[in-house]
Amino acid sequence: MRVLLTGLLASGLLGACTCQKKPAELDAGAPVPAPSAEWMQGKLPAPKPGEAPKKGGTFTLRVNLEPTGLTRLHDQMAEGTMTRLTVGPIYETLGRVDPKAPEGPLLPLLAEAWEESDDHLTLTVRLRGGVRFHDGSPLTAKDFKAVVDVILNPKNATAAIRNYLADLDAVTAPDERTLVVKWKRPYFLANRTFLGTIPAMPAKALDGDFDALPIHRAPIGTGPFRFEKWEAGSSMSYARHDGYWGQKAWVDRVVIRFVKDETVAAQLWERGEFDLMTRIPPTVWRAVEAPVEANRWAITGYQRSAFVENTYTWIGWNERRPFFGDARVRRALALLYPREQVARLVDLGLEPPTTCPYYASKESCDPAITPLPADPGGARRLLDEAGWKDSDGDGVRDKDGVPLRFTFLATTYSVKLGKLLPLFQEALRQGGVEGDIERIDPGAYSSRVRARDFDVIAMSWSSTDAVQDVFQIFHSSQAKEGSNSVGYANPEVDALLEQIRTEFDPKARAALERQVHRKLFDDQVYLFLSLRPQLDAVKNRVRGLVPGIAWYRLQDVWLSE
Amino acid sequence: MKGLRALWADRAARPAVVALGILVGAAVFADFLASDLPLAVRVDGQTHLFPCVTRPAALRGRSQATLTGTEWMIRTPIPYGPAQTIAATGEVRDGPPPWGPDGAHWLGTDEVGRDVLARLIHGARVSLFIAVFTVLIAVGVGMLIGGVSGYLGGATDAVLSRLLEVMTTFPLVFFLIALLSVLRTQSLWPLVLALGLTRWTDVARLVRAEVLKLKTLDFVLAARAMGASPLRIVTRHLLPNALGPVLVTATFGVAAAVLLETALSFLGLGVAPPTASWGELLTQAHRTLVHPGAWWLAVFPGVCIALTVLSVNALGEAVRRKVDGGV
Repeated sequence: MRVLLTGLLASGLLGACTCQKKPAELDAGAPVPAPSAEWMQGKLPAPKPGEAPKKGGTFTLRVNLEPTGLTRLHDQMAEGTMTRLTVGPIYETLGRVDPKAPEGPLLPLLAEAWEESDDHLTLTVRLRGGVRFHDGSPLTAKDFKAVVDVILNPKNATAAIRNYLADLDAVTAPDERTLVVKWKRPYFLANRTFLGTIPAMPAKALDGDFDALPIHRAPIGTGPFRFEKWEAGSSMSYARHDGYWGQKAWVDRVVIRFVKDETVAAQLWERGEFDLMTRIPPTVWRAVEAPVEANRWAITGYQRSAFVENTYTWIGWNERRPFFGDARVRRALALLYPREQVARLVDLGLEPPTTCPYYASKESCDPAITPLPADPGGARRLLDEAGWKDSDGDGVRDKDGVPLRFTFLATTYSVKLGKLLPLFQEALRQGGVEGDIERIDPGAYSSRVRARDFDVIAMSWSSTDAVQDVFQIFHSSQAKEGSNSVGYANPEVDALLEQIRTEFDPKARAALERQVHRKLFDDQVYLFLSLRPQLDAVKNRVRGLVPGIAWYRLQDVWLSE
Repeated sequence: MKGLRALWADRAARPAVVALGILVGAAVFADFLASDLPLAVRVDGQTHLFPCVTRPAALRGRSQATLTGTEWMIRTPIPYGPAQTIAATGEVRDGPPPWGPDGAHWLGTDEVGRDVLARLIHGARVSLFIAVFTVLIAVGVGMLIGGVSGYLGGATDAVLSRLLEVMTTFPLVFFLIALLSVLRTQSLWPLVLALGLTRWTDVARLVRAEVLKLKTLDFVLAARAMGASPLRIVTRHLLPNALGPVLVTATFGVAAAVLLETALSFLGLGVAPPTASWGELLTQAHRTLVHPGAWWLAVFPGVCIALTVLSVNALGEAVRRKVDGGV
């Protein structure tokens, strides 16, 4: 019954679609203009001269996931997508990443200034004066100390964020506006993480049973927007905080609508329900480009915004398996990967290729390294050399009785992998390698990855900062429980990663990071795929949106009508 | 054969018999109808007969589209395999797939350029395989439990009836999703077992009721009086007489199993990719129906599913009419 219903629903959508085109028929007859170059590339237009920002209006945006909570602290509620929707508009940190120079020093936000001791072990922060929380109470250094205490309390479900404070010695608040942070050992990212991650929350809202704190679902911060309401399963809204200490927001209200299903989201977008449509699937992005009547609404009604965040996708080989321990095998599999076809047919030319675990436009990546081109002949030679030959004539290579046959683990929801893996599977077969595909639900997927119970996984890593440390991902000490799920171990890389941790000079660090990049590439730890672009569309009336490494700043948004 | 002839005599069931005949034919001969390898070919001085079924190692990595240097070749009617993406066919066109129906792909292609008709034909095999074995398992388990429960009565009946009620109250799809997350293999059998072991309750309830009714009848009492063992009574006297209603439920069960398999595949939990399945095509349709408007991914599998379910149901009706003595 479910399936029949789906079929009906689908035809219903088709019907709805033709009806929705009616408003556009007002100017039917006029040919649909070809999209501008900016529109095609997804560059938001520069501000129009003579236009001054004005107050008022409701800004509606689509978000693809509904969070379980609105907090950065709680393990089960902190979720990537929502973190950036709360940190910024509602919560503020002491410093923020400079959108123009993300790899440069942080800009002060709730801090007026800070000072780092010569031994990098003490950070003294001077808080901005006159800042008040949305509930009217003043922000003091004690509030920050309270947040840190909550995070450090081992009874609380804060393990994820506690990780960042592993080397913390003590935090003290000698007076209302001074915060002193002491570290046990020097680490180049320690202060930056502290300044850019710990949100300001009122101390009194953190009293009581941590799991049941109301602030997890009704946040109270110092940001330009205050939380208004949350209708579970449908939407959430923020209102402008008129008592904001800095540049006040322009729009009265931000409405976040949770629409998980891509098809439904595209329908609502077409009906004009979003000022900002986020995460447009590549197929839809390309489908609305042709200057035909059916696309008039998109071409004349919206500006497109495509930007690359600090996120890359990768395929990882579990090196605990007999075939993947050998770097030659991993390289051969990379040579079989149909890179050109995937770029053309799956990514539709929208995802820049990468080989680097660091922020792509940074000096930490070795510019001499380019992705391995597809080379089936080279792959076959490498596999022969590594001793994987088809000795029993069944078409699948084997060695010591073990066939070169493995299973890709993918979640049922990944559209990209649903297309990429069958292509890869066939390309592998040409090289005498058999790759099966197993799809499971996301919950089971993460527990399998945590248990290291997989052959091959495909995932992505992302960071909202351009300065980052990949120690957790590639150091051999992280193979058991950290993020080094593929079990990579190279003493040279270990030594470099350890050296990086205490290297405070950005230039010297970049040189070390470039060596890490080179070694990871030589070892083919991952098959690095591509940088994941954010594909959005913005209604014509919207002004002031500027995409950056940390998404958009909603307080800059204003509506021209 | 006799049963089939009797069904054919029922004019109302005839279209259903034809439709199902085509479907079963397509499923059985799928490899001869749509394959990446030809029906017969002579290449490199070797003749291969039915390589589409035997899949000889010599032709590994080659296909009808890319075979060169052949002396002669008899192609399959649809020269594409169900899992053959553009990575293997090497087709290049202006835009990315899905491509609409045309001379090369009669029913169009899916998102990675696989031929929809080839996938439908091989998908029929999957759907029917799952449906038939699901029903066989369900009928087997259902008859056993229903028969034992009805014949023994008392405490056994009470326990088995409660088990049956528990199974009936279970939300089936959730149960299957949970079960399939735990089971981990690439074959169809876990799916068949999962479906079969959850769908026996209807049969069991029916058989139990029949047995309760039959066991008080004279011929059963006579058998018992003559010293027949309980096993003999159940297997020789009770179950054969309960078979009629079971047959009716079984046909309806086939329809239900086809739908359940499609639903699970639609959710991404059905057969392992890249195996073709109707539900998997619908998943793609759901994504591509409006932008870029790939209607063929929704319509053709939808028609196949609807036709199968309607035909099986019509057949079930016909069987019911026969069993009930014709109404």
